[in-house]
Amino acid sequence: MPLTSPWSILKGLNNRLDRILTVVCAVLLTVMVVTIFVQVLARYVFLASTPWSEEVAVYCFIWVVFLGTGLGVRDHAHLVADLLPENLGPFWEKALMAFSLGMVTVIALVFLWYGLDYAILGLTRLSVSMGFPMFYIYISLPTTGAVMLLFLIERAHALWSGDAGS
Amino acid sequence: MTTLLFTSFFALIFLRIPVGFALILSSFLVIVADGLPPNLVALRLYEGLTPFPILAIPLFYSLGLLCNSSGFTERIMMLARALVGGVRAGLAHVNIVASMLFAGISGSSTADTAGIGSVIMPQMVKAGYSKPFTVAVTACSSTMGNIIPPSILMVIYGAFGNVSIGMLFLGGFLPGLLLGFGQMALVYVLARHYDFGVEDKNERPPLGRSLLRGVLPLGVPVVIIGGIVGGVFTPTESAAIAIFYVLALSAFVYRELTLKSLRGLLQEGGRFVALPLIMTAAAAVFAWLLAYYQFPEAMVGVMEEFGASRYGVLASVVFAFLILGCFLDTVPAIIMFLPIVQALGDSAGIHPVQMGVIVVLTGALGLVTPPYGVCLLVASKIIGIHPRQAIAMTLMFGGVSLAVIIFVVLVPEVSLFLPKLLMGKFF
Repeated sequence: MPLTSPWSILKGLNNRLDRILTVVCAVLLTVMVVTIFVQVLARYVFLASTPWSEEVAVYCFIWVVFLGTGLGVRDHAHLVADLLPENLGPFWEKALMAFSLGMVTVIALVFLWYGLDYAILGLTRLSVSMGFPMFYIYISLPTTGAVMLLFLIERAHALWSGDAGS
Repeated sequence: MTTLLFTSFFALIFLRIPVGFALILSSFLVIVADGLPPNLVALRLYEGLTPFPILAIPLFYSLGLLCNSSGFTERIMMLARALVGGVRAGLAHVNIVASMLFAGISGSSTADTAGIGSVIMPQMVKAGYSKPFTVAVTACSSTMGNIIPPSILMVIYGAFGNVSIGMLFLGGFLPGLLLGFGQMALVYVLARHYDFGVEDKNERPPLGRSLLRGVLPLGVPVVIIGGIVGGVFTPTESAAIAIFYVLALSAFVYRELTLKSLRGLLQEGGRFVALPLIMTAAAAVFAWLLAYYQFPEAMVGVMEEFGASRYGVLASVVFAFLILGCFLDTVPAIIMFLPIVQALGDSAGIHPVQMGVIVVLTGALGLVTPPYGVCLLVASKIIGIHPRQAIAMTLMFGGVSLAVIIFVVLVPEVSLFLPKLLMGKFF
């Protein structure tokens, strides 16, 4: 297959997206920990209260969780309850995987569509202590929906072309 | 509507849909079917992640990862070896004692299995222990990570159930010790029966030096528990402080942590923490719907119709979580059924702290019960056997957990004595 097939472009794009999001999550996690630390430090050492710190930490947290959820879709990291026997034969295995991809696609679309719907409400809603629009928090869910879709297309193609993934 | 909610959820997880997504899908289905606004799903997901105590979960996970890669875990194991390495079946006892010490530092059982297990399991196999026994001891002792404070499961219970996390932490302390000593007693009996020898006689590190080396890591539980109980900081803050304590120690005193390994750790952590937390948020949506349809009240009605006593209520809660723990991850199981558990507990006059400790104890047992027991899976993977092979041994140690649970059910003071003693003014 030539290098410029749309699938290899998608794969390249997803690889880059994967790396960027991993770094973003690491940075957000760091900011979260440091902010909470500063909050305690400020309270006891500088005797100052920092009303913004809890908000910053919670908002970083929300972004980390949703972006990480998107990343988990790419490498099958989300936990599955193993209730069915392990190997049901190639046909059923493939059918179950296809069903699972379909259902997660529904989730991605719900995140994208209704997440956006909700995010727009956030344009006029301000955060309690810092006073910026909640839109910047609420946009995390539709963003994740879009990221999940990109990863899901890649996985669906892999499944279709015989490579069962994992 | 609750019937639709439950059946669609169980159908989806049966068909191998990831648990977190199955929770969201079945909730969404019910929201649409009942004509509620569909963006309610977004609202409830955000609400599930907004309470500040929840932030302690990623922090305690990160703390566990950090301990494993900064030389903390090895120091704890050295201390455990110096304490009990010289007795019959020493390595098995070391495994348990190390888990107890580690449990006081980290709130995560999987970090315990991975950190301690990857060091001691190969040693145990080399010393002649059977692989199933090795897996069972490692997996079951690491459940204490969630019982001896700090504990991620207790953070979840406290945050969603509006119970003091500090009191839950204290309430778990005695049951955790009982569990540890109970497991050691079982190892002692098994060692006599199978005639295990003393394997660690010569290489045992001297106690004095190990204590000295282990004293700084053991500062972590002092900081966390002391800080929370003394009202100096919240559980979330205590986790952040503990992270900086470990970072400072390993960077400046032990000089074992490099910038490169820290970067790797943060990237791993950033990706990893989302997995339990999306289940947390999703389970919060599910639980909200159950409350919306007044399912907890309905369950209380059913129980009262049966005329269930205090012990009847507790027994059914334990039984329900034992079943749930077999095929559901503990985190979503606790959140989904928390409103029901609390409604039942209130109607039967059970103290919320005792109820919380019992639910967490039973939930932690779910971490090792097949087919879906995370700690059992992790431990089996480390040593390369199928989890099925370790089931018989695991159930034997599970029996110890069950005995402790029954004891806590029958004697409320086991879980209530320390909270009353140390936080009596809030009691």
